[in-house]
Amino acid sequence: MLTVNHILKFKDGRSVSATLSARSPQGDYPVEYSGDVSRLLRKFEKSDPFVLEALFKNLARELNAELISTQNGEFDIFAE
Amino acid sequence: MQFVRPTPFNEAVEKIGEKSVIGSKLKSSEWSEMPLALRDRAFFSATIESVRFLQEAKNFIGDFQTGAKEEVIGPDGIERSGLKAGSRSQFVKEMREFAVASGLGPLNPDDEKTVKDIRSESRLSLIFNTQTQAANDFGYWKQGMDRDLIDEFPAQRFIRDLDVEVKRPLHVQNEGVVRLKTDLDFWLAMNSPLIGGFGTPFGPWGYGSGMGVEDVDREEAEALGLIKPGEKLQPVDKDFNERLQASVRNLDPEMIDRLRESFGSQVHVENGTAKWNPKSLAIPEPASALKREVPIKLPEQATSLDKIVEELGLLKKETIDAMDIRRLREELREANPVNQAQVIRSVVGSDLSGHLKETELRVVVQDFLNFIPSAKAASLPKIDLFLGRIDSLGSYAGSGKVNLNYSYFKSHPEELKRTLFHELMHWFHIEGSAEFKTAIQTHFTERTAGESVKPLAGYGKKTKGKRDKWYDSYAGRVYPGRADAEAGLEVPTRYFELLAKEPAALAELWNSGPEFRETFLIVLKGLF
Repeated sequence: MLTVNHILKFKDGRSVSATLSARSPQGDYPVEYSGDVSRLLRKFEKSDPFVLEALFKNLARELNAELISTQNGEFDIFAE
Repeated sequence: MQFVRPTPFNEAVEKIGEKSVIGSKLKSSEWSEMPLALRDRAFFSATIESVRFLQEAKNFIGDFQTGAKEEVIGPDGIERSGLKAGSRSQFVKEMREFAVASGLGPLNPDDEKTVKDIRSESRLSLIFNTQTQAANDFGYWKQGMDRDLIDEFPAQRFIRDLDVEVKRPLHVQNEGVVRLKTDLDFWLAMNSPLIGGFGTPFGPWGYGSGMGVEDVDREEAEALGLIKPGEKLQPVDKDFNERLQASVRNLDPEMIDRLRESFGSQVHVENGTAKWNPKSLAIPEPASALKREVPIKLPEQATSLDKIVEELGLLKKETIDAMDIRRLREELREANPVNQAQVIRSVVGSDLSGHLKETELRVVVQDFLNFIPSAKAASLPKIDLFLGRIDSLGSYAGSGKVNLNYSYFKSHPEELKRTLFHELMHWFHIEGSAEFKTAIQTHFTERTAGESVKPLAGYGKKTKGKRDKWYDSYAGRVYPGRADAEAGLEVPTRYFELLAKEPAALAELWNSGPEFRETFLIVLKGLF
């Protein structure tokens, strides 16, 4: 299972985090949000790791926030 | 001997050609109340009275169907042969200009840019799609009535070609149902005007129905008990023509009054029988201001991705949204995609039921083929779909052989579409044009110049590649030992499979940076 976590840190010290665990890159999986979720301009309830990363990169730029991303584990299976 | 449905569709071309151009104020619902034979033989669009506009539209679609060519002089002064009517986007552009020049538009300003506006993209696309699909579906049906073909393929399956927002309950109820082609009552029920259908035993199965049919061979039809071994079917095209004729005979006085009121001299009624009046359909030469001007262009530019991207303004916008992606997808869709039944040779799996039906697989393949020019798809090896025990989600074994992980998709069918798009893109890329392969390899080489091959994070130590700035590192996978090890084999797959995702998700990736857009557009160019 591959797990990704993205944290947006705002200039006022507050932050929002999103975590997703994926069996495969070809699926969409539930995203768990925590922190100041109301700051997010948009979000996906389900996503793949790549779109979630793109979303948080875009939000970091739009909200002038710092992005910290981590990735652990491996996909169980994938399309070759 | 195996028969396949031949192309081009002379029947489809003739179908368009034999239609009479009929201008009328009638709305769609009012047209549906008119006798079937008149509707079937009319080239019309709801509420459009301009015969000149309709004639122009009919001419374009006729040229499109026949692949008519013309000589054009390019900016370099060289004369080349190009398609007269090459695409839906060209139809929309030219007919919009014609409508504007003719002063056509909705009476109510609130209807501007909606489907009620004859100048709008949505309305013109609808006209193009409906007319071309109607002609093609008639062509398929008529060819399917050939005695040899109906013997080989006696039945057809009612399938969902496109996922639509509003599905007709009767269609949902009958998705995947197989019936003999001669079962006129069933097919007419699927296209009944009572559910917004067109009253024909062939498609389109109503505006925006998303439904289609695929051929079922004798072996399967016999297995389903629809036909006995050796039994010969009688084609029913003459029976349907009889029904058509009956619809315009012995009309009651009220209907005759309605026809005369709605169509004036365009309709001729004699002894209670109605037909279109050819004498009233002669159209004067258009005024020079309205004459169809064919823009000068090089043939290769006729349907280029660059043109679509420019028209949608995608590269001019700071960010795009889901609607932009929907429009892009719509533009990428082929007007006349090849039917999956013509491309899939076999589907083999131990238990294709429940969430993993053969029909579902065929629907996904059709979704993919809808983006592929039919000539390109037809030139590739036939596809053999195998569902069984494999280590990955899916793999492409060459020569059209696509393997899928049966047990995984049995419990996770929602991941099937993206996986199948991935594997089918391998088929399109590996078996396809040298030009596309070169474009991908060049891009891969340029983007990864100077990078070493390393394990790709998230994919295990054995999966190696060049990370670059691909949205997913797997796009940079290399295959040591293969002649095309560093040909960028996973670039088209990983980027094209995104068309199976929600538009909002793809929009986020598009907005993530120029690296994504560059690769994505290079992959999409392979479709042209």
